[in-house]
Amino acid sequence: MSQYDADVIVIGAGILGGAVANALAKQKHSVILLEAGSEFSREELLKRFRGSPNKSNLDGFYPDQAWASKGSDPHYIESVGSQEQRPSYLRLMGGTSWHWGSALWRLLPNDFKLKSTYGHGRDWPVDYDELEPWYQLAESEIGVSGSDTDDQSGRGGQQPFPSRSKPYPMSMQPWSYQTQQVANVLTPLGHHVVDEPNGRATRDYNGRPACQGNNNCAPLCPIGAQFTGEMPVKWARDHGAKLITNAVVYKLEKSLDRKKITAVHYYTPEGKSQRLSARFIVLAANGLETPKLLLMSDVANSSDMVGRNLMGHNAKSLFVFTRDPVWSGRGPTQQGSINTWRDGEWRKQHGAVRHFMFNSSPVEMVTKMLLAQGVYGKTLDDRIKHDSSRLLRFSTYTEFLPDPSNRVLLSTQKDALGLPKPKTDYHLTAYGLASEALIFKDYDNFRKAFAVTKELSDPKVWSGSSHIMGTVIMGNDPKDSVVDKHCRSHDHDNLFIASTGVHPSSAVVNPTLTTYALSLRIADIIHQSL
Amino acid sequence: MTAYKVHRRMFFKQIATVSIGLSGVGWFGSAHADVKGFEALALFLTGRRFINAAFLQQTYQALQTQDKDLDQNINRLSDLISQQKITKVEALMPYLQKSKQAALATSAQQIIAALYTGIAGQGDKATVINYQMALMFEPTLGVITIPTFVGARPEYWSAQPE
Repeated sequence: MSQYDADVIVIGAGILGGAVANALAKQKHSVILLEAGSEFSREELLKRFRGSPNKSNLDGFYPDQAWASKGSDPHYIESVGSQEQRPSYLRLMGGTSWHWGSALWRLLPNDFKLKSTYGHGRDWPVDYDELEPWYQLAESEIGVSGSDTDDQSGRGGQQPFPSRSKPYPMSMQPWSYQTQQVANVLTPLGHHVVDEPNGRATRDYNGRPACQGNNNCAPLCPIGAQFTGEMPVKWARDHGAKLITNAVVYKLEKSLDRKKITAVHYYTPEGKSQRLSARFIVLAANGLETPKLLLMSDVANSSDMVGRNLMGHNAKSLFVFTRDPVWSGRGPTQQGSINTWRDGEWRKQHGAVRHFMFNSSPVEMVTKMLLAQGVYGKTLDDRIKHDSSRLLRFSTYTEFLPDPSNRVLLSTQKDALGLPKPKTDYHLTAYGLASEALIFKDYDNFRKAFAVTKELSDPKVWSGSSHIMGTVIMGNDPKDSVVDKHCRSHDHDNLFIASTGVHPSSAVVNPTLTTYALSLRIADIIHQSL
Repeated sequence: MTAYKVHRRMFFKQIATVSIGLSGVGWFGSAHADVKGFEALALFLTGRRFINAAFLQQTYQALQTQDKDLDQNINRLSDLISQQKITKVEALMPYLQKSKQAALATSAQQIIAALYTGIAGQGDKATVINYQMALMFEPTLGVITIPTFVGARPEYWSAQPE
């Protein structure tokens, strides 16, 4: 009889924990998957969404659980520093990808070597070519739809880029009218509008139906056409993994020689403590919760880098009314991307920049604005149609560098279980801020090109980011990084971290696909070792 | 019969000429005059000939829980519309402002907002009355999807709306 409760314990039943657990359970290894929150069906969540009076809050209808607070709970994350940083993450089976837009980009080769190519930040200890087969596997498992012809670098090349060993598993989704209009207007100005690869099915795929354009990808795809973290978690369970929900891990137990993690301790919502042991531990509990647990456990931190180098895609936005209709709100809520400034020599001077468009229904927002203005009767109906057809919303992600002074810490404030709440101390730094002039110039051009009649946003404002990177940073040197190129802790050889927190550069695209690829590689390494 | 009731009946008659589609139009002299009064007022305030009867009923009930003076305000608004021979909401709202009847203006705004957004109340007290039936979706129906609901065939989103 084994001296362990399982071969592998995975902490966090989100998209990345699910990927690892499923890959290992498929290989007949015994896997326990611990999830801080509860399990909810898509139907239950859909009912909650439709019954929510505040649908503009992407998290609002997701359950409040005192023992597993949401990142957006204003009383949970203590945010200090000059830039508020309260990432919007969910703690329930399936994790934060319940409410994502499912952008699934590969990084560019240069994103892996920012330091050696452009003289800033850090290089990854892994390069594009090494990761390419894992990208391919991840895209196949997830079911990504995308363009096989786009140069995603935004350089306007005639060949698809970055290179791929196989086409996308599914053809790209036809563009919405809004995406077409944006491309039609901005391409003549020299911008490169490309398709955004994503997790929406364009045909029946592994049990998922094709997208029907319900226009609710974020905060919840109502029909499961879009890939979410509950899917690999369910696959893992189907392959024999044991899922324990409402299990808030509060301690990783070290061996006497401190070289291994021998057990994990968790609380039930009632505060009852449980202990489980395994040969391998995989930590996949979100980019903020993961360093929090490591700091609470005094684990994997010989470098003092745990929680440091916090990065996100801090963003600006341009919300305007245009002269001519663009008709947002038709089809998926997010589609297309303006990649003109994704990669180039100018990265020697400032961070990369990427604009994209919101395509969620504008009707509620427009109606509330008109009601607040005291518009009634036939005029109200006419204006709802007129203004909704002309609302155009850009968001702009910016690349920031890892900086050890930007960090996640343990707050002195305690949660319902008496555990420390996370605290972020975050400041915008020079490399990303230097992109501001370029963004403003683009916005000026957008205003002219779309004959803007009214502006609703303040482009001077930077917003926080939910794309948490750098907090358990990857590197070759154990003195300045937390995990190695395989996402294995430098300090404990049976501890792996499957989190976007391992990314040593933020680039300017959503990080999940890269980490999914790394997670599949983690599972393979563990499988080879068992 | 009091003058008050006469005025209310006059208002109902005015509305009845445009509320052809209102189900159960036998509200004249009904024992549930407040519900019927709300239905008539809702049509007037939204400039509509028809609103789903169940949605109207739900909205009335939801607003009642939010505003203890709702029935009184419905009656006062109905009387005022009748007495002043106001024929459109576009004329009513400026009149309420001009005559400094803030409570009635607020009540009318709340009814309009509830019917358009499908939500009664604001902030922590807000409750969903009926998401799919909210009137705000009507002007773009068939063009912009009501989020979570399927609006048309797949890939409808590529075409230019008419």
